[in-house]
Amino acid sequence: MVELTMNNLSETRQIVAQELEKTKATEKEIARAKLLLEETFMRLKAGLGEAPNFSVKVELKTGFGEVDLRLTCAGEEYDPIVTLTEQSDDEENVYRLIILKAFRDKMTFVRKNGQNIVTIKVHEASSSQKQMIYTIAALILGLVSGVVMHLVLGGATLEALNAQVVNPVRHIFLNALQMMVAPVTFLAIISGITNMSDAVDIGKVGTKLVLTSALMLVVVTVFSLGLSLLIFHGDLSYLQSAIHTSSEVSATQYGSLKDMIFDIVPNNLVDPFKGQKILQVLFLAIFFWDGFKSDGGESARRDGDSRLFV
Amino acid sequence: MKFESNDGVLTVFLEGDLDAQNASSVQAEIDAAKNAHPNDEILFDAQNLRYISSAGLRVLLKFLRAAKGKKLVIQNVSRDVFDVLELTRFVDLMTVKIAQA
Repeated sequence: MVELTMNNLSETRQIVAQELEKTKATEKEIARAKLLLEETFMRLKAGLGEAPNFSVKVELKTGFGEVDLRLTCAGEEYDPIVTLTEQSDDEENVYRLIILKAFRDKMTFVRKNGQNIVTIKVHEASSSQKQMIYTIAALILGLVSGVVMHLVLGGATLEALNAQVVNPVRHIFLNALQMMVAPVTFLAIISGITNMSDAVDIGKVGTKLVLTSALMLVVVTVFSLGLSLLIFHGDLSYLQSAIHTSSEVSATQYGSLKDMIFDIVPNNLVDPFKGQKILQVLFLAIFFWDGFKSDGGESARRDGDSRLFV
Repeated sequence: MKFESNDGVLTVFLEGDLDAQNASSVQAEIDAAKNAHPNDEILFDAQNLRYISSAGLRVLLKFLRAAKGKKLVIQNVSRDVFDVLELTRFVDLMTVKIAQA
């Protein structure tokens, strides 16, 4: 923690920058953090009476892939987050407002225990990191909840809970997922292919995707089977009965490989989406891609060349 | 801060950070140099300028106003400084030249 005053503004910025360099914050994010630190400090100072010995405590907070700067100061309640409509006649303040307005979504204010606390978000976890954190948290929570319920509730209560609450919610959730599979697959493939400039790219990416997916499938299957054997002490009869009795799982049955290949071309546009026939959905996506394909980015390249710095 | 007067151009070599802590003293220094070369046109060189805030922009604005409609030049601007100038539309008020990598 550092105490920021008017006399050590530059020194504090250096310290903050050095600490941020040890985190996942990028150079651009560090530069932005230094700027917001000063502008927020000056705004707090102005809003709380311009006291000559005004100071703010600056702390770095990290967790779950996120990096925040927290500024804390005592005094009357004052929210320094600018509103979009705020104006000023003072030149310096005009530019300060422009800067703070541009990044107001990175800042939050809270009043707690007589302190004004401003948090500047320096670095956010990427959406894939967040998803991973949420997924792991949900897995652990589900596991713990299941174990606790199994220990605490009796057999009859558990069965009733499953029948009345868990199964209906699971049914709704699986229906929602299945509803999205075909349209998302169709649109994702069209989007992916139209963003590539030529067929060579499609071939390369497609091959990598197929190989990576196949490898992941093997790894996940082996891991799952291994974990199941460990948990159920080698007895997989529970797993087999779950597959046989599950009514949510459906798969298209083909008599032979030849039938599967010949079935790829659908006889109408609705059945592939209705019947969850993914091969037919893929066929439609590639079929319609030909009508959507772009000029390979030539327009964007032409526009980029016209930018000049005077 | 260094200054160089050559062929009617006073080059001001901005250094380090231009922030609320030192903006007044920097402005005073540039004022003194300008007073010593009143007929020179100001040119800002930002090669060693690492950081600028709204207080620093006010210093630049003061000299922009004194130039009476003429677009002053700030050259060798780093990416971070350029981002601030661009965000605050100073790129419309001055001729901004980014430092070559």
